[in-house]
Amino acid sequence: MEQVSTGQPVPVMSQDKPTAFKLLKIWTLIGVQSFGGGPATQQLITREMLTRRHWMPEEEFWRYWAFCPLVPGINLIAFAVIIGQRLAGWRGILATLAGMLLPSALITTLLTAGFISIESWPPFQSMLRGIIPATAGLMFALAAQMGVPLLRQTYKEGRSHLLLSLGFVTTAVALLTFLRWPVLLVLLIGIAAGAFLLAPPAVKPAIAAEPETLELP
Amino acid sequence: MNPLVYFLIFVKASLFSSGGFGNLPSLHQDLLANGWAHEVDFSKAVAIGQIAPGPNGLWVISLGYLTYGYLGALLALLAITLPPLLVLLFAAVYRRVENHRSVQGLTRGLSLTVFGLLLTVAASATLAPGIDWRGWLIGLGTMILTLTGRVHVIVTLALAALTGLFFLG
Repeated sequence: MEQVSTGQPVPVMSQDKPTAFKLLKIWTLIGVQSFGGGPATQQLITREMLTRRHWMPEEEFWRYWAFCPLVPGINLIAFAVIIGQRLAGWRGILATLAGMLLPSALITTLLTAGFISIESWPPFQSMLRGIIPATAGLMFALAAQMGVPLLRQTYKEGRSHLLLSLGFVTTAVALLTFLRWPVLLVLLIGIAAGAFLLAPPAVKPAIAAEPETLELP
Repeated sequence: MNPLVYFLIFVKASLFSSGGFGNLPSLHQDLLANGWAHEVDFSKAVAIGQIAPGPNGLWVISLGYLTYGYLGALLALLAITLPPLLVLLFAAVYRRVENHRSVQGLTRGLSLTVFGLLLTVAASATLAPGIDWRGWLIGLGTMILTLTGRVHVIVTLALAALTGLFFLG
């Protein structure tokens, strides 16, 4: 982890602990300003929590960042929850979740309602004939952004690791497409088989990649 | 539509997923099997989710509204909020298992499987009725533009909309 400031002296900590209300305000701004998660949102959070306010030691902040992709569901929510808890306890969690999710969720709902109300308008129908297939392309891109870095990592560890990983992907596709197995079952098999077959070489831990390359959707 | 079953389908999808779109394959399978969503609902929800602000995974709220109105949106929001709370548990044990190799293998297994499942759903969206070779070209163009990382997704979708308006009307 490059950004862990092991070389720096003592981390500068701000004296005033944030109130839940302050957290609500900050996370509302982060939530509404973040489009599509990823590096932009990470920068926003880093600026608000570390650079401007020094609310927690950098090392702790990046440790949370590194393990949030292991938590089920949306990584950014998990990251926000643990920071909120660390800064202001359960009130911090509530304020963080409310700030990050409620305004964005409301906007998403209203956008969808607006979408439905103009859906049958003929020019919009034509636009949709472009947008719907575009979304399929978008899904492929999202999948690639998630899978390709991992495949690249296994390629670095040797050809057999790459082939094994590709085997995992192919098996998942086959089980779902041809055998029509339940997604949950396919996932559980992937997890269990991964624990036995996909452990990276013992020397270097793979999870602790540099924070700036980790993508938090 | 049973609200409890509907909610549990969303919770299950989110609980056994990683990232904002990891729950897509599970929702796709369960909602279609129950006849509670159409194939095209997923495309619409993902498109709206990309335009709306907030973390990546909020497309689910749009899916909730499309399939079950305001109640659906609310249930979807609850369902994606609960699983990440497990982070509190993870934080307590993580330092002990951090460098355990089987933990890393397990995470990889999950990510690779989700990758494969997402590819399947994307293929299913591509082969949906009403999409011909012109649609595939639009999809291919969108994928390339997105992967370059230089064009904002709203611009990309606007281009697709204009293409539809002028060439597919």
